[in-house]
Amino acid sequence: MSKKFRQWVKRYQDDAWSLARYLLKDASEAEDATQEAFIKLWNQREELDPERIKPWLLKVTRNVCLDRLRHRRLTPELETPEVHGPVADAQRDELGRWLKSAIANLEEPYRSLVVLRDMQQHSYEEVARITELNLSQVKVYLHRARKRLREQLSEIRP
Amino acid sequence: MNESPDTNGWEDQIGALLDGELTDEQAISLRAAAEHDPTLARAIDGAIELRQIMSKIPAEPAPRRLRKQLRQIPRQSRVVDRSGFLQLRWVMASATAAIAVTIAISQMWPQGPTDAQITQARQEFNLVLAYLARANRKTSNSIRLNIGHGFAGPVTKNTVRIISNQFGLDKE
Repeated sequence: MSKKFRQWVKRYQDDAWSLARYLLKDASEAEDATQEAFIKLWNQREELDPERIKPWLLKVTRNVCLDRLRHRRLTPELETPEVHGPVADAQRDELGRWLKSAIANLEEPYRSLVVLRDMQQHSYEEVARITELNLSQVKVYLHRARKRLREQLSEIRP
Repeated sequence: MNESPDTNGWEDQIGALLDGELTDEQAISLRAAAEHDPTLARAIDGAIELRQIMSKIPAEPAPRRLRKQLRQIPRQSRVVDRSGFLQLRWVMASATAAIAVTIAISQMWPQGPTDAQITQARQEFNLVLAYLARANRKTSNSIRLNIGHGFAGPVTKNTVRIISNQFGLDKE
């Protein structure tokens, strides 16, 4: 089973890490959250459907991150020096960097939806399973998120 | 972007266009609508540009340290499981040893005790009761001095007598 687990690590570590990174905006905390999710995967490995490991893992990763964000609200907010204002980044002509910041500044569940669907290219069905939303909610929220990003893009590139 | 409220009605179509899920007919219809609606045209251009920017963002791989930590999870878990198993094994071994000793002792008198052994056991039990009575007296005195008469004598003479009668010790 540890061989199978190593395969899962190899396959899904980047997606889990990237999701945690966008949600938490803090590299070391994202590492902790990813590790926590994989430990849960190891502990639950016998009960899980092997076909649904990825959505399960990403759902757990997201929930771990959301728990941490809720806890963070109760304590002083961490500084997020990597997140810049869109205008400042655009002036440096770093649209990619700006977009990452813009995504990181979206509220939930918009942020998760954009990362999972548009960045990581998971199917709508998988995104629905991961976020525990229904398919129509996923589409509606995703449209709103994309629209917000478009509006911000139009502000920096009139 | 100052999109007209009408654009919201096209959001599904724009999303489907980006996902490559529009039929030919729907795509033609959307393009035709965009030709007459500059706001919709801008929304489509913005969505396409956004998608292009997203596609150029390089995927950020998990840091090497994290990769290593994740690979080590099964091994670390086994260490924890093993230590738990070792503790359990000690408990099992102790319990087995206790049972083995009990069985061994019981095997030493397969036909039951002799009369001499019973007599000796009674004498020893009498001695224990004598010690118990003495301890009772001392405890009672101490309680009487510190708390009062109400709580004194936790093991009464009557209790000792009842125990003695059960085993016929009062006849010895």
